Amino acid sequence: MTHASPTLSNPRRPGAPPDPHAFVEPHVPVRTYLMIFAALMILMLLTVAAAFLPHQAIGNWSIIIALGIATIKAVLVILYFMHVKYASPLVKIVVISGFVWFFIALGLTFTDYLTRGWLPVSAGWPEHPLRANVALPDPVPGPPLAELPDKSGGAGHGTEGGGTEGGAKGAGGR
Amino acid sequence: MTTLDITPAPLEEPEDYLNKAYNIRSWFLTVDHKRIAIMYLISVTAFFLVGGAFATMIRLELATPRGDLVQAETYNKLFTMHGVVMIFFFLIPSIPATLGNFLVPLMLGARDLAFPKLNLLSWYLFMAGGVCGVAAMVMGGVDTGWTFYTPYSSEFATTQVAFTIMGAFIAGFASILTGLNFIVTTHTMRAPGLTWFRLPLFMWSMYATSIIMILATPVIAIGLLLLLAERVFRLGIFDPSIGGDPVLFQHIFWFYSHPAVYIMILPAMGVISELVACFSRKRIFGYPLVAFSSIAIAVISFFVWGHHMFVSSQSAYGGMVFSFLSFLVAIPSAIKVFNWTATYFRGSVAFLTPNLYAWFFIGLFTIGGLTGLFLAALAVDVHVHDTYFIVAHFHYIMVGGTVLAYLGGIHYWWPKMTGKMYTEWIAKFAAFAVFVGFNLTFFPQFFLGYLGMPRRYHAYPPEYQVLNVMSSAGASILALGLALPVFYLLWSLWYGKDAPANPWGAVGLEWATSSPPPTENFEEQPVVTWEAYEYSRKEPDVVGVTPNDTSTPV
Amino acid sequence: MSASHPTILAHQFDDLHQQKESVTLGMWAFLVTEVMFFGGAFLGYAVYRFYYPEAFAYGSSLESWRIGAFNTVVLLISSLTVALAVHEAQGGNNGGVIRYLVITIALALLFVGVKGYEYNHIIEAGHAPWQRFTEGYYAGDNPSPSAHGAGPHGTGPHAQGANGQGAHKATTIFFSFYFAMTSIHALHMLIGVGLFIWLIKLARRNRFSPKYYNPVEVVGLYWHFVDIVWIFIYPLFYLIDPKW
Repeated sequence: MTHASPTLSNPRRPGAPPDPHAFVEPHVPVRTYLMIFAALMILMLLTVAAAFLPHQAIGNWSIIIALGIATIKAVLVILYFMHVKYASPLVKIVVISGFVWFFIALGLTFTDYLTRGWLPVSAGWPEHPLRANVALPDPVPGPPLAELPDKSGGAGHGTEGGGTEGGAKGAGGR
Repeated sequence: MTTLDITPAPLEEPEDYLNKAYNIRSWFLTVDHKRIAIMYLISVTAFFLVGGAFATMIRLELATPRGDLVQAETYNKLFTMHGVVMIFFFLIPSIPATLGNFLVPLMLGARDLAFPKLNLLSWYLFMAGGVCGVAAMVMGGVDTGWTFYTPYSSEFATTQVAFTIMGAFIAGFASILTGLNFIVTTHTMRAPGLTWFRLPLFMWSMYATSIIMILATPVIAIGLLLLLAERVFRLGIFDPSIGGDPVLFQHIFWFYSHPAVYIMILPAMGVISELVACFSRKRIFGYPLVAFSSIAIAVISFFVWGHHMFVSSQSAYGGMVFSFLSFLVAIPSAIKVFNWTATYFRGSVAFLTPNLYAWFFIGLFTIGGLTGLFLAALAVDVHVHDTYFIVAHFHYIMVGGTVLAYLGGIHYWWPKMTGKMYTEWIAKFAAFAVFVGFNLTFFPQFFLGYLGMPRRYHAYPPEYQVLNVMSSAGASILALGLALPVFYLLWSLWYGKDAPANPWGAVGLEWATSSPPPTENFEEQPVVTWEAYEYSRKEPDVVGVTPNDTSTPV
Repeated sequence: MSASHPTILAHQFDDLHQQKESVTLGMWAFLVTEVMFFGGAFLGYAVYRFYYPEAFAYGSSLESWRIGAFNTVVLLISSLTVALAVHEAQGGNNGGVIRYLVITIALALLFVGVKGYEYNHIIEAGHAPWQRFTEGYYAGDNPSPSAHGAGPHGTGPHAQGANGQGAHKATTIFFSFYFAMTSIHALHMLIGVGLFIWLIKLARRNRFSPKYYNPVEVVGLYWHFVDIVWIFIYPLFYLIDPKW
């Protein structure tokens, strides 16, 4: 295991020479790489095989299995191909925090999506359209790949703010 | 008898980073963090003036209830572009890219940042993004609001959405590179003896800001990219007619944009810590707490973005979660305010311009922060969302907070950056003008919002006019206060007094070298044996620092 | 440092070790930004797959999982060759570095080529999202009597029923994510190819030695990350409901 580098966590004592052995990565033998590669290939075959398991039987488990295997593959690549297994604690923290942050984004976003419709709070329609089997019109046909007319014409589709003389909206909001 | 005309040979100026070379290449191809900081300073100021021009138009229009200055669609463009320019091209880079770039290596005792070429690249990316954004404005502008909400921005807007988005997207990479540079430099390039808890609090703030920059900015990058793809390639990601959810865009957008406001305020808080310590001649009270509060703000800021979406048809339960977490994020900010205030107690306080800005900041940030708590309360926010209450709240933080701290920092480090002193009396005058003008502009807006005046409307019912006129009048005073520094700071470059290495008698590595510093920052690598803000130390055993040098300029 | 090499210590660093630590940490911090970048896209995918599982399953069944599997294998092999290239660089064997990087570039270009073929196939089959504005995109879209709220022009996103894409309008969202994410991924691969070419140029000048192999290592880190993104893309887009 490598020493903690002097410049990373404890700055060198004044005058001391830098530690020449700090942060040197060990030579990972080629055999290790080949074994990890073999493991990755096997896991890949497993992924494909698991996808063909009958959906009636395993239902929601299929995505958990698929992502689980993918995670194992990713962890192997990270630890061995990317040398994180042999890296300093700082690098490990950096790696972990990247993924933690992704899960923060995912998790908190789903506190919204998972709970929509739990409270009968009126937002102007009885049910959120994503959950209602409401007929939606076909998309507005337009020029498929041509540029939208990105020029500001005179009459844009502006907001409703145009020169209303009367009716103050009282206490804002809905 | 003729007098001999003997003109003495000019004294040799010591070489510093400014006079090392004068040609264009030495500036546009520099890798010196100090020169890059100056280039950022100039460009950021230019964008500030552009954003200010839009604000002027807005306040002129709003001085009268009828929409008589500009059309509704034009007004939409004005507030959109005011927001886009001020946020993406002024506030986000302001302190990190100018003061941060200049000071981080100096405060760490290093010769430069870890990646000087990436630093230069970040300036070019920033300029490319800014030029893209301004080009969009010249080509007709954009009217979606700086928030680019779908499906208007993805399907129906016919204005320059694509160019504006590209501008923001490109400028985001500048942000990421800056954050990357600061994080690596702080970890690997501190001078011998400079442990984490000997760092100035400005460094803690820059580090926390950099964490936010690298974790949050990529998310808006992908969000804007998906929006761009939806417009240009007619993908259907946010298209409601096929089941897309426009609120998803809001989630992705605010996941960045909320931490972004902490990118704007954390560096400001770091500046204030430096100002408070120097101008009370004391170590910041509760240093470890203030240091950790920066990190806490950076972390918790990622948990609260949904409070921008309380009325968006986000689920009510989700709203409650975000509301609760939003209360949490106020705690570390409050810790800082208490600690700054406690630092002044029994300090030796100087009535100088940077300190004025610090006082103004503490007061105005407190008001802005407290009104933020009102908004975190879900029930209150439902009523004041999209009204001028929100506008007032965020301007108290962004202008009363960040801009004032930025001005304070510019004044404080101006002698270090340029080797010149500015004129104190006019600086004080400008600071008071800013304070008075700012409050007159934005305090009435709290009332306007509470009484129900919606934001982003170019016309309003006549009963709101009095407050609006107050606001517009205040804006003119604010404009004066903000314009003055441009003039007297520039004036000082030619006619100001030369500044000594440590004009404020402050403690910190940046003051241990000449004003302006040489290109390599220090004559020899400093070795740090003292704690942060050790104003109590009497012996000047530190290279170049005389902690009790109280030579203050007029 | 050998006198025959140009200075490899940059001016801002005190010594080679500080330089190596800094560059490696810098690349890792950059990869964190990439995690969040792709993460935002995966987030959007997750939301819509949660809402429209059948539409996503249907879209996935229109992809060729075999071609995807082939590409996955290609990318895994390229990860191995990159790891071996780093190993060679650690040993100072510049020739070996060049060999492995050339193979990696070939694999990368093969991957991107296959991707292009896939795109072409999808567009010709008429499943591309921008094609939804053309006539007949939702062909076969006869709403069954049991579909709720069926109007004359279309059915809601949840409606089951007739074959054809119209049965699941949200399948367009699936393909939008497919095109967006795989093209951004492919762009990252092309950037990687550019970086490999730069490394090959350095190796040809014998720049790498046991003391200085960091550039190969950090580009390797980047490439492994690109591989990891695909490791997740493959099952999420190709293997939801594959047809044998």
